[in-house]
Amino acid sequence: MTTSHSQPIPFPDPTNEENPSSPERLNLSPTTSHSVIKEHRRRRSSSLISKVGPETFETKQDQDIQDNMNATWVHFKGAWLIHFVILTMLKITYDLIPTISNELSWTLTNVTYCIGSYIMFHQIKGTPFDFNSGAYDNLTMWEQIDNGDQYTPVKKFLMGVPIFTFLISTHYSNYDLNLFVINLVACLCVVIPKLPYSHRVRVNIPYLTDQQIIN
Amino acid sequence: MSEFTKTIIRESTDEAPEFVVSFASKAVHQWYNFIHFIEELPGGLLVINYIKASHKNDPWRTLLEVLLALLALRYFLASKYSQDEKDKVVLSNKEIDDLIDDWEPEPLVQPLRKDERWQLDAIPSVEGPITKHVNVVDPKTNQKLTDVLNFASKDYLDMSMNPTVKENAIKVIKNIGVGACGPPNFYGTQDVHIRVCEDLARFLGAEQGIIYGQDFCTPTSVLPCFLKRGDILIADGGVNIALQKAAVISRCDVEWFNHNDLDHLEEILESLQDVLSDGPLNRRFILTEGLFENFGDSPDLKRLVEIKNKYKFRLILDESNSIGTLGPNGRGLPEVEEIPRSEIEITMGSMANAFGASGGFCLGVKGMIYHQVLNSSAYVFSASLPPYAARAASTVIHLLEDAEVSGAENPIIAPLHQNTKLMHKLFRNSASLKNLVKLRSSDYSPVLHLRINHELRRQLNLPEGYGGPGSKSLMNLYNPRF
Repeated sequence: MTTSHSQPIPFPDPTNEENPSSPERLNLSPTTSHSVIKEHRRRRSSSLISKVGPETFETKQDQDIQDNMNATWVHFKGAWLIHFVILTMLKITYDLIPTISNELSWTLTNVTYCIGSYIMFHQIKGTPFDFNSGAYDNLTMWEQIDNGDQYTPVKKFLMGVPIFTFLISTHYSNYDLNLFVINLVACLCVVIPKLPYSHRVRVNIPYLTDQQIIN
Repeated sequence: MSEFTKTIIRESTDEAPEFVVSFASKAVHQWYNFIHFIEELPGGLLVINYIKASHKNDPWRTLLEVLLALLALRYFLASKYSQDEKDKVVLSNKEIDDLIDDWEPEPLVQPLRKDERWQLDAIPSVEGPITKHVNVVDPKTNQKLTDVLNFASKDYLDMSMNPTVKENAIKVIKNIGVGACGPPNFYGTQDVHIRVCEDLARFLGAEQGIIYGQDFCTPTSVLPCFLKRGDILIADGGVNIALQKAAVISRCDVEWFNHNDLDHLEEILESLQDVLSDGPLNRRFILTEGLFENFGDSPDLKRLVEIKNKYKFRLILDESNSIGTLGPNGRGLPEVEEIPRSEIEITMGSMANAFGASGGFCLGVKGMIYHQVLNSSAYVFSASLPPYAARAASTVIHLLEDAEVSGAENPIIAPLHQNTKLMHKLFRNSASLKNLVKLRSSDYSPVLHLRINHELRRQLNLPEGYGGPGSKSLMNLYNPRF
């Protein structure tokens, strides 16, 4: 219990016949983990850049209950291969649409891949499974991979794919300035959140994003 | 030498001093040799051509790409590190040895204190089944007392000794043995389990039911199915220990309202409005008991249902003690207050009290029950209820239903109601008990709740409560002015 509250907790008068014992007049909760006056629920941050706080002991325990299936599949061989399959499929799809030039089709492939992987790895938080009582609710998938360890093989691979795609697509889009800028912005949008400095960092854009939950 | 380097040399000879010219020519020569060397390497020509094609006289863009490639290179070469490692304390071998040497294990079992010994010796033991009348052995004299009236049983309707129930249970044991041999989803479900679920749902007017192997595990398993971090549970402060534990392990945000104080509940709901209105939609529940295990009273269910509908919360009602005891036909608190069971989203209860069997159950709509089949930890991982207990509970329900008379109390339950009223009347009107204890339970509670009188408590130097918010130790901890 923090001592910062200036107001003392109102206690039942023990000499009062009407309040003989504990939970009838409840001024403290039956559970010590939940005090009566508390920071309410999930803490939200309204600052532009904030950091998700460290996990509590309980949360860590819940995270360890079971393998986090939302993040472990990235280690499979097929999960590495699928990136190239998706890129090829995207390229073929865009090539099939008439009026789209080769330059534009490469750029669209890169941008689509970046948007998709941004949503998947950096935007959606939590897991689709219900095993951990919401212990991962504040973390993006990128932060869940390898329990937040940095520079692991999977993370290196996933970092390499967008950079490789960017270099290829700028090359084949013949360095048209507009297309180059579009490609670069798309690439940076997925590369920057992957850097270790961005771990657990939340960016709040006024009028565009919801307030980020940081605890 | 390429056209480009020639130009550089020609331009620099015009006005630059001699040493700069020679240095520049050397550098250019080295650069040329380097490029040439790369071209010689396998695949080198391809790289040079790629760079030539990419450069296209735009140094800024080339710089950007080189930086990006360097970033990737740096990222690939960095070695793995764990976020948790910073928090870990690293001990040297000597420190570890010291810690081990210092460690003195506590005895596995502490020697009994004098008062604990006394308490153990004073407990009489019961011989034979625990029923309405029991045979008791006095621990001091070893004297056997036969046919002692048992006040410490929750078998409210004496159903565990009912001949039909016993006969049916024995039949099941003879047929399929005692245990169910597995969790319900893994060979642990037999026809009797399905039947008792149907019987419970029909008897209490719910869509579907599910049974659990033990009544204490029922809430601790049902609540985490529907509540997780970020969800809200508003619970009565007086709920039993199983419900308190369930609230905590579900990891949701718990608010506690004063026992049966619905004004306080509304106050909390009002104060939560701004929190509830923003953010992602979460699950919201109100938790209370039909007949409180700790108090022997009931909430005002009519008003509670109005409140939960007004604030769009769902209601969880633990009817462990109220089923088989409250209402003319033993259908619990909703029957007394004439509220349809459908208004209560989750009903939980015990088959170990009035039904005289064992195990717990949960009732509600189909989807809610089906979610538990796959998600409730006690249902998925624990052994299922012994089939004979399921059969016994089924038989009790059939007995109760068959005895029902329209427009009158169920003749099986009527004596319980009369006795309950009588006991409360006797205790309430007794002049000699008035100074010693206070009757806490309501007239309809089959369990008498007596509290030691405040004056007497003070004279005996007893605390106002134990461990709870009223206790001295906690008061000192939280509020030093006491």
